[in-house]
Amino acid sequence: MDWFKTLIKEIAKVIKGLLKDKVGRIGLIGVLIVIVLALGAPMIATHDVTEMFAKSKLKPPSGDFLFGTDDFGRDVFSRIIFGARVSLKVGIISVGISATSGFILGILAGYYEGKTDGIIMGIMDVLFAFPSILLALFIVSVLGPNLTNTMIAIGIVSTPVFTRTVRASVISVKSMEYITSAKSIGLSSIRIILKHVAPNILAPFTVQATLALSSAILTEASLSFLGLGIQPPNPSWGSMLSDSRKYMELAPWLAIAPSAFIIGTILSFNLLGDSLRDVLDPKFKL
Amino acid sequence: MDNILEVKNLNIDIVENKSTKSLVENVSFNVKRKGSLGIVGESGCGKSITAMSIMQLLSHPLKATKGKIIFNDGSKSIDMREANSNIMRKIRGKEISMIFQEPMTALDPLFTIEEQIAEVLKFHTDLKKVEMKKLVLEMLTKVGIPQPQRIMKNYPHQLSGGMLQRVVISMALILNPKLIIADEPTTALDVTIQAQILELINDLRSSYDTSIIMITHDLGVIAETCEDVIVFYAGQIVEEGNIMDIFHNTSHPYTKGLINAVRSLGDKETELFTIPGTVPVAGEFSKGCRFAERCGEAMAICREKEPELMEISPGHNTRCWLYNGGDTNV
Repeated sequence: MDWFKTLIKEIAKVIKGLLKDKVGRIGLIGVLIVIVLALGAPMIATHDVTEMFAKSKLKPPSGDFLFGTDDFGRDVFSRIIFGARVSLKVGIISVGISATSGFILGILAGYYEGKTDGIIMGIMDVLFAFPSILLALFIVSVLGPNLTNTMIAIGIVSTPVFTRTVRASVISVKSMEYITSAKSIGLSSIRIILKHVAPNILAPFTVQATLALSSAILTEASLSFLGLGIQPPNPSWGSMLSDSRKYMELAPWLAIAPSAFIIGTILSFNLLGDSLRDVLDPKFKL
Repeated sequence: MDNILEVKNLNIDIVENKSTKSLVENVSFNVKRKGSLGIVGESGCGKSITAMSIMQLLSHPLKATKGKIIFNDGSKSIDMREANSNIMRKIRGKEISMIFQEPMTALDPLFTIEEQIAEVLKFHTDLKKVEMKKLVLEMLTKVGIPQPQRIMKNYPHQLSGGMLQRVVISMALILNPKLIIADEPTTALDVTIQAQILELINDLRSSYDTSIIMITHDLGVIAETCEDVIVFYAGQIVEEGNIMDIFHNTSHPYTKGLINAVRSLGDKETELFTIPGTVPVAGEFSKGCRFAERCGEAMAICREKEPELMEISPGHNTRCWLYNGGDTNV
């Protein structure tokens, strides 16, 4: 369990570094708020997300309905809170998909170079050539619009960025003498990759993952806005924003609340990623 | 057989976009058992890739295309170019090991000194953790690291270059290999540390009965450590012989130039001696001698025909028309 202890110690060091940095502090707090909202949604929400109050349609924010109600008379605040669950779930799972596949593909491409590199990066460049939202739209419309397919689509769309980041870091790590040294003491390629290459590219990879999380949340919101993501009556920030268009003049709070949450969440993740880049950069250590 | 390593007619090419350039041409040399061979030459002359090819560590686009590299550990001989990767991996680190030029980057920044040295043991032996630790500690003491108990828990960035080179040396020697390839082991260190490291290598070599290939551009290092010397120029051996031949009976104008450059360092009156011009680029060699353009003694034939490596006294070979019995009409 020695490595586990070191891992905990490393994580504690990173968090300490984040808290020291103003930008990191804001990002970390923002992300924590979203996580708390998502985890504690049933306790925080004041109403059922699908319950319709026929008498209070399109009501402005009040004591009873914190962010007002929508055109069906549903409580916007509760829907926002449960929407955080969707956003976070989509973000984490789709980034999980793209990060894992990108990590593996990037290491293969970077370490083995030559033909492997050519084939993998060729496919990635083709994926990259599409605007991500267009590609996601295409995948979702082929697979059918629902939460799982949305996550798969976003996962596929953001794989190329990971592959590129990982490949570039692998190539730079590979030229270090300690890799030649590892070869010269007889270690196999697999062992060199797992023990010496992978840990050394973790910093840029982590930063990329944080930034990808925010763009995944944004893509989900966009897909839901277009009606291809989360299907009603389930709440999603994107679909709420989309529905609010019809009543923009009559009930602006319908647009403001989900927009504010989308902006806040994405900003927090980006700030966290930015600060993480500084904290994890070995040049800033010591 | 009293040679631990025999390299015969080795060629190393660089393959880029289907065009092939030759970087090392027709190089042959032997390393005697318990012997020490120095390979000296300018940057880019092919000495490092020759060393890498012995360990089969060349990676795309570099490739050893011709020749034999025969390693003989006393009981069996293996042609490294034909050995499969499993056999190679068992040889690396155990039978042949390397000391690298940049101690600062030769160790993984994420692992402690102990973990990195123990990695060699983990792969090649079945020792228990405690025994490994003991061995690592012993080795660190042998290479002259003060407070090895404390240092072995440190990370590479916490140590100085000289200390790190000692760690690298202990890594190379811990399994008592039969051959060590030292690729410019002192280049990145300052002069006082250089002397200490060379002394350490010399001491350990004699106590471990190891053969060594010392690759360097510094004739001083050669003088300190080697019995036999080969001089590389533009991918070829231009002169080879024992250390007396090379330093006191210098024959090739290039070697003479190298020695003059070092000698003029101590002389305040004269300007630093340099060999004019630069090394020709691989793939753009003229048909004559590769050194002719920079040679003060070049004759007509030097630009016309490439000289062969020829023996001028037993064991002392040179690649120069000056020594071809005065026969300049070939």
